[in-house]
Amino acid sequence: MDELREHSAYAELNRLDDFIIICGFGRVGQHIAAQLEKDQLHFAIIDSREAGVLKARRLGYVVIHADASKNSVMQEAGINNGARAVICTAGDDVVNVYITLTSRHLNPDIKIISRANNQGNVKKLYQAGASNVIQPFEIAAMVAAEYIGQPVAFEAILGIIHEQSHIIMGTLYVYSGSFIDGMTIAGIGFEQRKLMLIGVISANAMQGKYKNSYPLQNQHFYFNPEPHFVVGDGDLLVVMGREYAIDYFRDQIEENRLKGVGRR
Amino acid sequence: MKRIAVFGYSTLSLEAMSRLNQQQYSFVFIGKNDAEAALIAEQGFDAKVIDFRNDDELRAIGVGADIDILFCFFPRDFDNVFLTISARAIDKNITIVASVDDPESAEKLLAAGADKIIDPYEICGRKTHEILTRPEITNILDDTVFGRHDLNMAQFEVPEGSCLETTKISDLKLNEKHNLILIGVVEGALNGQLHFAIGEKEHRLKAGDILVVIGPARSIKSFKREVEQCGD
Repeated sequence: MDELREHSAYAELNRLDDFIIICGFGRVGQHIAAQLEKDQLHFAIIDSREAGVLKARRLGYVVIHADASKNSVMQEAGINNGARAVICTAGDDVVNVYITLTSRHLNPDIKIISRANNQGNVKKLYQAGASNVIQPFEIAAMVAAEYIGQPVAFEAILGIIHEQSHIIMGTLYVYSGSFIDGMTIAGIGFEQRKLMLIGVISANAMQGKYKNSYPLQNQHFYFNPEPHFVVGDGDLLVVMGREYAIDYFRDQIEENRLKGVGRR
Repeated sequence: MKRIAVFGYSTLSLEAMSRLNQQQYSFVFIGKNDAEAALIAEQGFDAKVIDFRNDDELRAIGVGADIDILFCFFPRDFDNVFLTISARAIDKNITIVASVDDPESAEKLLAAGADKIIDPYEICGRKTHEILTRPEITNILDDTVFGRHDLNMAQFEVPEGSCLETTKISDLKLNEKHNLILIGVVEGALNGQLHFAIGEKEHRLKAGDILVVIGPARSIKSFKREVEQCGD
């Protein structure tokens, strides 16, 4: 019976071309699965513990009862065939390092997010190939610290981040040739579009002349850019507003870009 | 300076204490035994051993007197529930932040009188989901607002008689005048209605409203000064 179920799980994953592999279905894995289900994103769970497998099955999730640290299990699950990310959620950092290393070895380009239970292991997880490392107790401590300092601000901003309010934060990509490519912030008219511009993420060295710049990995984040700030190809606008207003403007940028391409 | 009592020897306790600015907060760590207290004292924090089940011992460390905030970070939920109920009975104004292990305990902690529940597993799950689905926004907020850069979030209460009273949200133009982004305005206390600064029905400010903003520390400081002085 188990084999049959496994076979059908693999068969289902073979049909998909964009899904996420969650390794471990403990407390953290369950929260992630619930969020992805809400987003209607495809995912598969791999867990070697029977209790986790039964729970995932009861919830109707695609689940493989196996050890995710084995190459064959990850390969059959589709790490090179449709999976876009691997999430290591174990409460044991030794297991997470091993699964991270296995996944990175099998797929050099895949996104790997791993949980670190001990601060001392964060570096090891990055060395093993993790793209991002999450420390539950560090983030929880940050939440406690921010809450007691500015409870109103914190709850308001958290509501937006968690998309619990009708106003959300989103990003808009500036395509080359789109109508906003080369436009100033004043010219774009965010207010008329019922959007609020928080800032611009840019790797463009020309933007270096503007103030309010914060280093962000290989790019810079320009907070509250001035009206004469010119956006260009590859910049990412970080805005706040109703979801439909963000989507509508994104569609306009896209549509306009396609027309621009057609004219060339 | 606010005084915080931290109960429970855990990573969460240590992380929270090291994250908070020691110029704004003073801490007393409460261990269950000498070994726990010694480990925390080694990190430079004041540490004591008491039996948290005894109200007199809670009072002796300052609950009901100079302790403003309680972190109930015991690993076991029932210890946190008992501590929350005891502290709330002693001081109805104390701020209680409690961690949970089992999500089902959250409601019990709220019923016991906790103000904020911290579920590290839920937070970790959410964070992973955010990194997966909205990496750019997560990176910005982590590196700036929640990180150690100079970009912060802040809240300002509109004082009685302030020049801000009766001002329309749309007329504030904090981004142009103060280099601050106004997220919105919360009417009154923590659970008051949040009016977003964008695309919402117009709201006129009144005393007690709280402005929620993001901006560089220096801009926040100068706007705070202006808000405090403008009614004089």
